[in-house]
Amino acid sequence: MSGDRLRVVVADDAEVLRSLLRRAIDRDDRLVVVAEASNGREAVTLAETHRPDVILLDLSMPVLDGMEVLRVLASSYAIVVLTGYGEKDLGTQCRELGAKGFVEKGVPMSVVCDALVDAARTAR
Amino acid sequence: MTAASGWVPAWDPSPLLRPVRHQVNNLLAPLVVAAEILDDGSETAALLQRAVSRARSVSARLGDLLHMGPPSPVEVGLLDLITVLGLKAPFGAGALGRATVLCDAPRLLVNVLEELRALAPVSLTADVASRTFPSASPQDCLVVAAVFDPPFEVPDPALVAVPLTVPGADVRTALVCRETHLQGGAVRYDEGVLEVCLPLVVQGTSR
Repeated sequence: MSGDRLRVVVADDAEVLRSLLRRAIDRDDRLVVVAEASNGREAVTLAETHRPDVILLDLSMPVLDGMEVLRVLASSYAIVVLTGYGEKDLGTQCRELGAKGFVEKGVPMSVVCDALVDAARTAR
Repeated sequence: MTAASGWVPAWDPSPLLRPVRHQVNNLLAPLVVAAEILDDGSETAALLQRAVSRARSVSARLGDLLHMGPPSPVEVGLLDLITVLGLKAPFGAGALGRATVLCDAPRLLVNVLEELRALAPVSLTADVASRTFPSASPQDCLVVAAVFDPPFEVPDPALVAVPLTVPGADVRTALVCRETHLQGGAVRYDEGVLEVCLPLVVQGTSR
């Protein structure tokens, strides 16, 4: 039933974490990762190529950071920010730029997956 | 998730740790996800989750341990490392093989060390580590010092060896290492420089 799954692009410059996130998200039968981006520019390109239902976006990335990606993509895609920064640092700014969720790195993956599903369904 | 804001925090750090929340999160996030991927009831998963829990718990108490003002990101990271490695690389041979396949656990450990090292603005010796973390054993302090002076290698999945050089180590530290904590490891002390190849015992193996 992979055709019913919400399609996700994961953008994080940390290769090990990105790979782990993909494995963890793919274990959720509501979601499937269709592409991984290692920087913001790739995230934009891959979003335009794959047209995902939702993007999981890190903020600190090379080439184009997550805030810039939000400016480019948030009007067209549901985006959940997954970051090590606390809310007071960037949360408000991310929401103003259109992020549908703002999740701190280290939360259980069930919370990340729920946030992705909520964001995708809200955007539909 | 807090419905009003959409903000989902992972933990509630003490005021002292809030400035380094980002560094701690980036350090622990791969471990958290790896633990969940391995959440098949295996010993490895349970130990990984313990490592994360302990690291956070110890970090949260860091402010009480230090009397030199707020901790630096390096200090927080180092204490996490002590805590994680305090489990003595918690992988049995079978579990380690499975972890290697699933999430490349040894590589993950190396990456954690690399990330810690990237945080380090200054060198840190075993002596400094022992004064910063009075409850840590000399062996723990050497592990800490190893972060700052690699090469760090994992030559054998069953044995994590940490070659290190500790500038400024004193004779007492060298003797303690040689006589008490590092049987089986190579120790050489010369003119204030301590060179050690530190074996970390992996569960299920003997060394």
